[in-house]
Formats: sequence, C-alpha cells, structure tokens
Amino acid sequence: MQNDKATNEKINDDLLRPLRQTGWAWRVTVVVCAIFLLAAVAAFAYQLQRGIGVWGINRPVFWAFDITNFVFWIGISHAGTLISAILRVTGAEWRRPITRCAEAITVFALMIGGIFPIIHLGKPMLFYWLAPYPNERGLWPNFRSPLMWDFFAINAYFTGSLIYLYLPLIPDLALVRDKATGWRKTIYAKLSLGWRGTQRQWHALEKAVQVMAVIIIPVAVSVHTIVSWDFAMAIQPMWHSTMFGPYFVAGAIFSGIAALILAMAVIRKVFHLENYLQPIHFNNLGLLLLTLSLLWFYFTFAEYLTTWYGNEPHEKVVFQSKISGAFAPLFWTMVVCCFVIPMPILAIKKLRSISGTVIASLTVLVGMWLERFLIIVPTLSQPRLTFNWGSYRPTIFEITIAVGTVAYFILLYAVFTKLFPIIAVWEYKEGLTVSPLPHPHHDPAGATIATAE
Amino acid sequence: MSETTPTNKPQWAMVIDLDRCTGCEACVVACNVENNVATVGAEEAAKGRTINWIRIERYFEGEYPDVRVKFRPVMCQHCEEAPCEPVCPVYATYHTDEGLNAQVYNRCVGTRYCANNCPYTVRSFNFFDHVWDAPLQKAWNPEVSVRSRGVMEKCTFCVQRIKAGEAKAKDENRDVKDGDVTPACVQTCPTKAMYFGNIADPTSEVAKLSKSSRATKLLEDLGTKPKVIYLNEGE
Amino acid sequence: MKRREFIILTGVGATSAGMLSACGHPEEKLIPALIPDDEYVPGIDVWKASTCAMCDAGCGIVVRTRDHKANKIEGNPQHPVNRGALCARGQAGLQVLYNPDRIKAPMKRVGERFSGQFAEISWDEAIKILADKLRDLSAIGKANSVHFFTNDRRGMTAHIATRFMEAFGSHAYLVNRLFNEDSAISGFLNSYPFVNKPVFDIANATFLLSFGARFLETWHSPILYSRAYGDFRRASGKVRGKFVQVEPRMSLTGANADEWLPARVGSEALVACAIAQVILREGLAKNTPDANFIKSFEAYSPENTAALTDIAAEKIIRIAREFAKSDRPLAITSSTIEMTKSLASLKWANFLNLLVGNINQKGGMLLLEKDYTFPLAKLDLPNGFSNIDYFKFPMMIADRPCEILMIHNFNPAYVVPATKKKLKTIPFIASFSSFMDETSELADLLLPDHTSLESWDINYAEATSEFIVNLTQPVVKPEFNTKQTADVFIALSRALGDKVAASISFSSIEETVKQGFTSFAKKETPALVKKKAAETDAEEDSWKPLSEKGFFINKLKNNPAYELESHQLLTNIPLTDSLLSDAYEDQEYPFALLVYEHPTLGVGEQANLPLLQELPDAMTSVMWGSWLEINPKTAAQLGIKDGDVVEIAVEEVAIGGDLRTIAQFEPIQLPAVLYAAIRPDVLAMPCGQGHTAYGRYATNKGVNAVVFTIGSAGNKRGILRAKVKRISNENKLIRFGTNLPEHIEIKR
Ligand SMILES: Nc1nc2c(c(=O)[nH]1)N[C@H]1C(S)=C(S)[C@@H](COP(=O)(O)OP(=O)(O)OC[C@H]3O[C@@H](n4cnc5c(=O)[nH]c(N)nc54)[C@H](O)[C@@H]3O)O[C@H]1N2
Ligand SMILES: Nc1nc2c(c(=O)[nH]1)N[C@H]1C(S)=C(S)[C@@H](COP(=O)(O)OP(=O)(O)OC[C@H]3O[C@@H](n4cnc5c(=O)[nH]c(N)nc54)[C@H](O)[C@@H]3O)O[C@H]1N2
Ligand code: SF4
Ligand code: SF4
Ligand code: SF4
Ligand code: SF4
Ligand code: SF4
Ligand SMILES: [Mo]
Repeated sequence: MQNDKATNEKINDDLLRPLRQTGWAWRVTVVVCAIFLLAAVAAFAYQLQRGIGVWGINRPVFWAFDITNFVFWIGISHAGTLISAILRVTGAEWRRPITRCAEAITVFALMIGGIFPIIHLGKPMLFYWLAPYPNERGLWPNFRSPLMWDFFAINAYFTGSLIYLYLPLIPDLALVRDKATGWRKTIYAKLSLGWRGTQRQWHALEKAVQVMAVIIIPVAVSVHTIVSWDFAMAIQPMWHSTMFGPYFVAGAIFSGIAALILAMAVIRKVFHLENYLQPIHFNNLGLLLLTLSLLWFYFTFAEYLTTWYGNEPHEKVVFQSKISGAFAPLFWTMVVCCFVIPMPILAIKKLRSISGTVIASLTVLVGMWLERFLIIVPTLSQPRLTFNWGSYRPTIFEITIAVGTVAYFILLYAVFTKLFPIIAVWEYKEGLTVSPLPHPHHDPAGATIATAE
Repeated sequence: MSETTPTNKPQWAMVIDLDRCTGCEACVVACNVENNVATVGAEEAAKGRTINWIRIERYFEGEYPDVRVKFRPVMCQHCEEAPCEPVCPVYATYHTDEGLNAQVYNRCVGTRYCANNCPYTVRSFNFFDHVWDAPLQKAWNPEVSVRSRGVMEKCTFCVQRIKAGEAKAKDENRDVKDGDVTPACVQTCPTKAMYFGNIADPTSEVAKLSKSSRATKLLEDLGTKPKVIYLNEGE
Repeated sequence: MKRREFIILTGVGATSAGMLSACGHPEEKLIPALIPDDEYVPGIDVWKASTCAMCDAGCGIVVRTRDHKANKIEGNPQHPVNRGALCARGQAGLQVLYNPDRIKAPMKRVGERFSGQFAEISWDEAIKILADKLRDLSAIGKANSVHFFTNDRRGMTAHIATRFMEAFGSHAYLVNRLFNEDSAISGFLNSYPFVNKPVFDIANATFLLSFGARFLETWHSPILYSRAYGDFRRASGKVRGKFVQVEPRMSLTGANADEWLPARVGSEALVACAIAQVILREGLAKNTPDANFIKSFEAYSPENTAALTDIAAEKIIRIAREFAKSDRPLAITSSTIEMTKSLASLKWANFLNLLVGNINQKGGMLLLEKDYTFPLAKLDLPNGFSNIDYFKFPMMIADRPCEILMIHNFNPAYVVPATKKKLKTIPFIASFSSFMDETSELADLLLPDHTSLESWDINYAEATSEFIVNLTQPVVKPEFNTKQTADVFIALSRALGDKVAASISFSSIEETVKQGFTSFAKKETPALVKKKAAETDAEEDSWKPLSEKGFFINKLKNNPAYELESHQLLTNIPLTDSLLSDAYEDQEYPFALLVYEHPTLGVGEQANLPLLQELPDAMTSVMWGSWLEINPKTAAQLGIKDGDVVEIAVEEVAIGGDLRTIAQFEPIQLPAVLYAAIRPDVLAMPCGQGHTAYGRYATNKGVNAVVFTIGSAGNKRGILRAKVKRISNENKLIRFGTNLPEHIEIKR
C-alpha cells in the first residue's frame, strides 16, 4: 500500500500531539498524582525516622503490604516487554500501536516494584548492602538467598526493558528532534544518538530489536519465577510449591495485560487516539486476558485442590483459613475478580468491547493484588506452632504508600507521554506498508472509520 | 543448605525435659535480663511485637473435665540445617563451626526473610528503637550488645557465656566440659528441666540424654535437624 | 555446742550451723559487698551474695556487678533453698533497684493534703519534721496515738521499730499476709501438739495429692518446691511420682498434675474425707484410729458425697487406692481456700498423711523442732511485736486514736481499698515506701527506704527442714538519696533523746548486721573462718568469708513428739465439725468466684516491673492487664467470646452459724478469657493489677480484684458469689500466644 504524504503527516500530527499540547485532564492528573505521591513520600520519611513499626506488620506476619505491592508491581511489569516481545517475535501485526505503551509500563512498574525491597527493610539506608560487592570485611552477599536472585533478576529485567524500550524509540526521537526547536532539539538530538534513518541504521535497529525481543522473554519469565521463589524456596505451608514459578508468571502476565488495557483505554481517550487504538486491539488483548483468566483459574484450582487433597495439617490450616476462615471474604473476592466477572465478559464477543475489557481489567487488577496478599499473609499468620498464630491489619502508612505508588505510576506515565510518542510512530507507519490488518482511512473531515476486513 | 564440615570444635546443644518443666517462665525472664531483651510496652505488645528469645508454649488438650495442659519452652533450635540461614541476603544469620545459628546484629538489614522462613517462629524483630527508662538501663549486661531498630534478634545460646566458658577451658589447657557453659535460662530453671553442653562429647549429659527413648525434636520431619532436644513427659 | 542463743541487736548472735564448703563457679569470685573503690577493676565482674526479697521464701542470690552497676541476679548455687535457681520474680529483681519510678529523695507534702504534691527535702529536715511531731505528741501525753505498720516479716525492721515505739510509748505492728498459710496452718497446728510449720518432702514422695496447693507458684517457697517437683518427676533411681490436684480452677500447678479433679468449690475437705474412708474400709491404712472415730464420718463415703463434690465415686475410690498403695504418698493443701473451707481441708489432708503414716518419713510431712522460730524474734524486746492480719488494718486504725501513722512496706490503700477513707482521717502520715504507691500518695512525709539490694538485713528462709539465716547486704551503693528505715529510726531516736535514744544502742544497721554475723561465725564456724582467713592472708577477718557466702545453716531435728503421739492423735481430734460446706446457692449469683494471687505479679508489689508485666501469664498468655476466666461452655451460654469485655457483680456471703451477712460490691468490667480448665459454675480472676499509683508500669493496668476479698464481713472472709454479663466485644486483651489447642482437627 502506498504511504502517501498526507497520511504520513496526519499520523505524525496525531501521535506527536501530546508532546505539543497539554490538556487540563493531563494537568489535573499530574497534580493529583503528585499529591498522593508526596503523601507516600512523607509516609516513608516518617517511617524512616520512627522505624518500620509504623506499619502493621508484627510477629509472625513479618511481610504484608510491602511484599504484596512488590510482587504486584513486578507482575504488572510483565505487561510490556514480555507481551510486546512475544508479539514481535510471533510477528503479530496488530501489536504495532501498543508496543510502546506496553514497554513503558514495564519500566515504570519495575521502578516502583523495585522500591519495595528497599523500603521494606528494617534499615532501608543500608539497602546497598544487598549489592554484589564485597564489604569492608571482604564479605560478599549471600548468593544462596532468593532475595539476591531477585536483585539480579530485577536488575537484568529492568536494564533489558529499558534498552528494549529505548531501541524502538530512537527513530521517533529523531522524528521529534526534527520537529523540535531550541533546547528540546538538543536533548532529543542527544537521545536519538544521531539517527539518520539510513538503511544500515534501520537494519541494525531491526536486528537489535529482534535480538532483544528474544532475550527479554526468558528474562521476563525468570524474573517472576524468581519472585515466586521468594516464597517457594521457603518451607512455610502453602509457599513451598513447585508450581509457584509458572503460576506467578501466568499471574504476572494476567495482571500485566489488564494494566495494559487500562493504560490503552486512558491514552485513547485522553489523547484522542481512537484511530490508532481500536476495538480490535482491545478485542485481541481481551482474548489474551481471557486465556490467562482461564489459565489463572486452572493454576489456582490445581494449587488448592492438591493442598486440600494432600491434607497436610499445616497446609490445611492455611487452606481452610482462605476457603472458609478469616481470609474467606478476601479469597472469594479474588476469585470473583479474577474469574467470575472477567471470564464471561471476555468470553462473550458482544461484551468484549472497549468498556467490557476495561471493566474486566479493573477487576483483574484488584483480584491479582488480593492474590498476592493472600499468598503472603495467611501463611505467615498461621505458622506451624499454633501457639504463635497472629493476624495482620494494615496501617495508614502502608495504605498511603500503596496508593502513592499507583499515583507515582500514573505520574510517570503521564510525564512519559508528554515527552515521548506513546505510540511508536515509525512502527505504526511500517505497519501500514506491510499490514494485512485494518488501518484508519481518513476522510477530509478527519472522522475515522475503522474498516473491518 | 549449610554443609556440616567435620570439626573438633564443641557442638552446643540443649536438652529440655518436659516432664520436669512446669511452665514457670523463670527462664524467660532470665534470658531477658541476661541478653538485654527489651520490653516493648503494652501498646506494642498488643500488636504482637514483644521480643522473646524464649517462650513457653502452652497448649490445652481435651475438654472439661478431662483437660490436660502441656508446656514447652521454645527458643531458637539452632538447626543444623537452618532454613533461616540461606535466605538471609547479607549473612547476618549464619552457622558457626560450633553448631550455633549466629545472628550478627550490625550486619542485618532487616528483610525479615529469616523470620518468615523459621518454622519455629523464634525470631523477634525490632520494629522500633526501644527505650529503657533511666536508670533501668544500668542493669544492661555489658557483654551483650543492645539491638537497635530494624534488626532481627533471637536466642544465641548465650554465646557470651559460651565464649567465657571456652576461654576458661583454654586457660586451663583442657577441652570444655559439662558445667563450663551454663546459659541463663538453664541456670535459673527451678526444676532443672534444662541441660546444656557439647553433644559431640559422648560423655556429656546432653549427649547421654539425647539418646533417651523420650527424646524428640520439634517439627523434626522438616529436616531442620534442631539442636534442642525435648524429652517427652511420661514413663 | 549450745543449741540456741539469742542474736542481740547490739551484736552477739548465735545459732548452731553446718556449713557447706565453698565450691563451684560464680561464688568463687564472690567478694565482700563493700569494696573500696580502689579495689574495683573496671570491666571486671564482681559477684556479691545477698538474699532475694521478692517474696518471703528467702532464696539466696549472687549479683553480678561491674563498674558499680548490678547487671544480673542469679541464684546462689550453695543456698539450700534454691541451689542456684531463681523464679521469674527473682530474676526481675534488678528492675526494683533501677526502677525509674522510685522515690529518689525524702520529700514533704507541699500541696493540699492528698494532692500528691511533694517537694524534695534533706534527710536532716525530714527526720526533724518527724521527730518534732513525735516530740510534740509525747509532750501532750499522746504518744500512744502513734502507730507503725510494716509487713516486712523476715527482716529486722519490725524489731527495731518495735523497740523504738515501745520506748516512745506506743506500738509497732507487723502486718500478716492474709492468703497466708500461716494463719491456716497455725489453726491446724493448734489442734495438734506441735507448733511448727510442716515441711513437705515432695521430692521423695511417689504420690502427691494436692488440695489446691499452688506449690509451684506461690505457697510457702516456690523454688524450694519446684526443685522438689523436678526430682519428684525425674530423680535418677526413683519412680516417676504421680501427682493429682484437686481444685475447681486449674492453676499453673494443677496444669502439671497427671490428673485434675475439679471438685466443687469448698468441697475439698469432703474429697479428702471420702478418700480417707476408702483407705480405712479397705484396710489400706498404716495407722488406724479407733472405731468410734471412724464411725463419726462414715456418712461421708465417696458414694454419698459424689453429688456434693461433683467427683464420681469410682474416681475417688481409684485415687484412694493408688494413694494408699503408693510407696510414699503425701497430701498437701492450700491455705487460701480459707475463703471457703481451708481449715477443714487442711485437717483432712493431714489426716490422710497420718493414715498412711508418712509423718517424718522420707517423702512425707516433716514436723520439725518445736522452737523453730526466728531468732530475731527473741531479741531483748520488752513486749515482742504485735501481729495483725492485714484486713484488720482498717478496724485497727478506726479503733484507736491515731495522730501519726507510719507505714513501711505495706500498701493498705491498695491491698485493702476500703481503708482509703479511714486513712484520710489521720492527721499525719509518714510513708517509708521506696515507691510512690497508693498509700504514699496520701502521705505527708516520704522517707524512702533503700531497696533490698542496697540494704543491710538479717532474715530467715521459709519452709526448709534446715534453719537458714540469710544475710541481706548492699550489692551496689544506693542509687538514689534514700535511707534504710532502720537507720531512720536510729536517727529519730537520737533526735528524741533520753529513753528513746537509749533504746537503740547501735549506731547503724550496717554495724549491727556485720557484728551479728561476725560474732556468730566466731562462735559457731571457726573452721570456715580460719580457712578463709588463711586464704586471704589477712588478720583474722571473719566477716569477709561470711558475707561472701551470704547465709548460715543449721539442721533442725524432726520433732520426736509425733512418734509417741500419732496413734492417739488419730483418734482424738474431732475432724467432722466443719466438714459440710456452708453451701450457699443464690440463683441471682450463679457462680462461685475465686480470686487468686498472680504467680509473678504477686499481690501487686511486682506490678511496677515491666519485665513481669510483659511476661505472658503462663496459663492465659495475657500481658499488661487482668482478666476473668470462664469455662467455654458457660461462656457460650452467656454469649461471651474470648476477649469480650464483661461485667462482674459480686456478693460476699459470710456464714457464721445461722447468721448470714451478705455484702454487695460495685460491679467491675474486664476482659474475659475462655479457660478450658475451670468448672462451669466458677469464675476466677487474678490479683496484682489495678493500681492507681505505683509508677508508670503499674498504673491503670487491669482491675484490682482484691476489692472482692475484703468485704463488710469484717474479719471473717466469706464466700464470693458472682454474676457476669457481656458488655461489648471490644477486645482489650493483650495476649502473647493464642488459645488454640495444639492439634487442630480439620475436616476433609
Ligand atoms: N490487689 C491485691 N491485694 C491483696 C492481695 C492480692 O493478691 N492483690 N493479696 C493479699 C495478701 S495475700 C497480702 S499478703 C497482702 C499484702 O499486702 P502488702 O504487703 O501491702 O502488698 P504489697 O503490694 O506487696 O505492698 C508492699 C508495698 O511495699 C512497698 N515497697 C516495695 N518495695 C519496697 C522496698 O524495698 N522497701 C520498702 N520500704 N517498701 C517497698 C511498695 O510501695 C508496695 O506497694 O495483700 C492482700 N491484698
Ligand atoms: N510467686 C509468689 N509467691 C508467693 C506470693 C507471691 O505474691 N508470689 N505471695 C506469698 C503470699 S503473701 C501468700 S499469702 C501466699 C499465697 O499462696 P497460696 O496460698 O498458694 O494462695 P493463692 O495464690 O491465692 O492460691 C490459692 C488457690 O486457691 C484457689 N481457690 C480459691 N478459693 C478456693 C476454694 O474454695 N477451693 C479451692 N480448692 N481453691 C480455691 C485459687 O483459685 C488459687 O488457685 O503465697 C506466697 N508466695
Ligand atoms: S524455668 Fe524451667 S521449669 Fe520454668 S518454664 Fe523454664 S524450663 Fe520450664
Ligand atoms: S529455630 Fe529458626 S531461627 Fe533458629 S536456627 Fe532454626 S530456623 Fe533458624
Ligand atoms: S532480617 Fe536480618 S538476619 Fe534476617 S534475613 Fe534479613 S538481613 Fe538477614
Ligand atoms: S540459651 Fe541464652 S539466649 Fe537462648 S533462650 Fe536461653 S538464656 Fe536465652
Ligand atoms: S521464690 Fe521468692 S525468694 Fe525465691 S527467687 Fe522467687 S521471689 Fe525470690
Ligand atoms: Mo499474702
């Protein structure tokens, strides 16, 4: 298909508009999120000054919101890089408008997830003791600790994801550079690394992106496997499960896709990118979400059934508390949110609309947060020696920090959309040349009709 | 987990005779005093944040009128295959060549992972800095460091007393023997329910008692190989 | 060797003694208490011997000090009472010495009376204020309206005070402990020709039958009997003893029993009687009383009493057989069941001991020499001192003119709350308490005493078959500007002059204690003195080795009188007089209430120690508060859940013959604990909490349960009946562990 100049300009205009214009919705969002973020920072500052006792953790529940949030955000990070990589590797053409907004999620979610292992420390200022270098006594950190593996896995994934986000950004940075003036031009010039769009450059880029996509998939899978091993390597009831690796990876992608759908819906609305992010994308991601909802259900079912059937007393206690005990309300909310609501919405074609997938995604996110909470807290509150059973209730500090991270994420995302095209311009254009998939036709009035094949 | 290298160092172990133990908790207070264990106050205690290196677990069995009560003193079991050790990212808790699960306070960064992976729930965390209202702090044992906020702590088998006992034996140019080392809890126990010594020495009291037909270990099936041996009640 | 001499306060003291040779670990390093500063090596531990003052048992302690600070108390390994062990309270002793809420200097009231506002003054001024007051009263002939009360039963304070008060023209009173075995035991002993308190050889017994005696927690001497219990269970070469506890609410002691018999409240004597009957009718008795006597209680067979005791006849019969057939059976009793029928149970339990013939036998009940009394009591005191039971205190001060009240080591405003009003009518109160307790708050003058670890004293150990004199000596210099009460009396006597001054010839309590011990040592243990003197190559210094050791010991003989009279005894004593409990049922108050002493907080004196406040109660895991124990089934019927706040209303019924006095109390609210091991018709709550003063750790924690035990019934304590209702589900319990059974059954 011919990629005529008008279409080209239109696309440039649409996709770079957020960089030029700033709407009130954006401003409000940024201000509100900044306030919440500041509240969280203040909460953390207070915690630094007083001690981690300002949280609700206790003996035996030594981890709760902190690690729940950690696992949750690392899970969200699987939206981007992994999905975009899989779609790239498998050559799914419809991916083109969504890769960047997915990849950005990864980087930001990792930035946030990675905070928790630091702020959850009893001595947060000493976080660097976890870094792999020998201390003044020549002692290295303990490589047998899954927390160390986390350190490497998350760092590797973050680095990889950053590169993977950055590489496809280069041509767009060059595009922005060409359109920008003044100091912006200098910055974008620096960032675009002298991109000229030569054949060699294009070739190298495509190659690099392909390689990164292949590399990043196992890294991403390993990250959440390792996060799951924080639990599975421990010997506590209902943690010590061989299935936790795949279960966590599936859960991560599940929540990641949900986050991606939500992000896309917001971007689509706020930046008027209805032409680019079309129902088909939501439909396809919705189908993916459906698959993962089923997979989640399968994993959860398998996990709980074996526990129940095995009837090992200490495991059974934890099991029972989730199914019918103190944690039952949360547990069943989780099941409803991860399966009962999203499954029919996503399975029924008519419901799998943009608003349908958004609703499903919202419940999935809630459900998946609860899932992480329910993996951590019931086990810890019911240790083997029953004399030591305890309970947990979050404090305002934990809640503020949790809410603050959501705000932080939105803030990062909002700022990102201000600085970089949230839809990969070149990739999108490239798609128009090769795509058998629908693309927007433009009528003179600028209205868009999505053509179905 | 930890490799047990053959060593001629003493291997410290404890035997607790549940038939003698009355649940009086003298050992608990003795440990608190000897090891500068903080009291956290009513408010923190209500949140489940007391610090206890040893506790007496009490279980009611049966229904009225056929009720029986069991007491069991539980401190760090100094597991040979300690689940708390490999998970610590900074080696703040590790195994010594004398069979102790050691805890280095100034290396601990407070991940609390060790506590989560201790099947015996014997680890206590310093959620806040603790205050000893003056002049209570005058009673601090100068041999034991006072822990600050954000670190994990637990029973050390009174390592300061072990060191003193070993030093004494060394001065006298001999191996350690029964009686050289008596942890605070063992020392105070009114019923003499606790024994402490070098289990690698077959002539020691703990070595002999550990072969009793009443000897059991707590949650032995986990393979943690505890160094605390319980002698069951009854004949 | 002379059997007994008197310790004279001016110096000479004596009693025969067998010394243990010094051996073992920390005591090797013991050095005398008062080391000159230049002998102190910084960073080196110095061990000092003294006596635990946390209860009356009189355990020997050694205190580890470094750089003038005491940092650990341990049991004195040589001491025959505790052999190196200490209880939880003993271990917490340093928190008395270093308690932040101590009264740090003498003070006089500055604000309104009872406003609790005081200003520091000098000791000279404090003593002058009191001396002037006393002189003024004496001048107008009202010397006898000055009263001194102390409950320091074992030390010298009461004696010195008595001397002073007598010379001044009034009295000092020693306040008896109430839940105390003494009154009940002396009641029992009065009916027998012995006067001494028995000692029970639990260690060697093979079957221990206890009627509510909490010998592992409170009772006569917790460590002594805990040590015995350990050996009772597992001494080498001995069969494992069997232990049966009869009590309506399982105590920590009962929790260690092999069998628990929850007899109806007040029916313990009946249980013992029924057991006695089985032993007799099956011919299992070693000593048999005459037939007429046996007849007198034939009606109380296990079959006939089962309904009254709520213990099945078969069970009684089985236990009676096991008991009598066991090698060395032993029966013991509590004293506090005084509230209901303790005297009867005491008599009947000891009757069982007579039946199975264990008196003065291995593993039996040991009755000791008749004149086993504290030598200090035989000082050259004109009239001896007066004892009063603590709950008679309100009447005492109401009955006689009282212009000045001096209170030492006794806290009536808390332990007899009803007194508070009367205390306020007394024009001048001087308190010697080391702490700002409820009584001190009402005082006009505070003359803070040293704590025991700063004091000099001679006292004796409770409940041993040996006679043990303990030394109390300072292990550190006084932490604050306090003064030992004995020295205050010396100063007062000097200030008053004349006859009063002459009554106390010594110049300080330190000198008295040192001289008493030294002269004792010279006379009775020359060998020890010589040996130690040689070691220290000093000129003969007998004080030093004695102070290193910290106690003296003297084996007492068993009382031979019993051997002759036992058969007679069995037949002559009327036992059935008060056997049937004064059963009192009240539909409105369906429960019996048991108020018991907290094992670690005691009567409340230890409630100011954070270590003990945060020590989980052994049975309920509760910390920092009080609670009401209630059977889970009963609770379910009343809709009460674990931790719910409940309100308990109590009436005290005193029954004397046909006369019933009923007193109602203000209801109180506290959290409930579902307690699996209590009769469904019984509620129980511990004493020790509910302070309104006494420092930051004690104040406003829980409720004062003792309000129920001192009724309007005056000097006879009655039965407590209670009703309970749920107030709210607000969980106020501070718990350490859960209340779950160990093995949780999970349905598949
Ligand atoms: N609430 C409550 N009341 C009770 C009981 C109970 O269990 N609970 N039990 C009853 C019984 S059995 C008894 S025996 C009586 C006991 O009655 P008391 O002996 O009056 O009770 P305590 O609370 O032990 O009071 C001792 C007081 O001595 C002071 N004191 C503490 N240490 C020192 C010291 O070193 N030197 C001096 N001079 N003073 C010191 C403190 O101020 C403390 O309040 O109480 C009876 N009343
Ligand atoms: N550790 C420690 N030891 C102490 C003391 C202390 O404070 N702490 N205090 C000392 C003093 S002052 C005293 S007076 C003694 C007190 O020591 P004890 O004489 O042992 O008295 P209590 O501790 O009150 O225990 C009495 C028991 O009797 C139960 N009881 C109450 N009424 C009845 C009844 O009608 N029938 C039966 N069967 N049981 C009943 C109560 O539930 C309780 O379990 O202890 C002394 N020893
Ligand atoms: S001190 Fe001895 S008897 Fe008391 S609880 Fe501890 S181990 Fe048991
Ligand atoms: S008992 Fe717990 S803390 Fe102690 S060595 Fe074993 S796992 Fe570690
Ligand atoms: S809390 Fe301290 S000792 Fe425990 S795992 Fe973390 S760093 Fe190691
Ligand atoms: S061995 Fe020492 S540290 Fe461990 S519980 Fe006993 S007293 Fe405490
Ligand atoms: S029994 Fe009494 S004297 Fe002995 S250690 Fe305990 S409180 Fe002190
Ligand atoms: Mo008492």
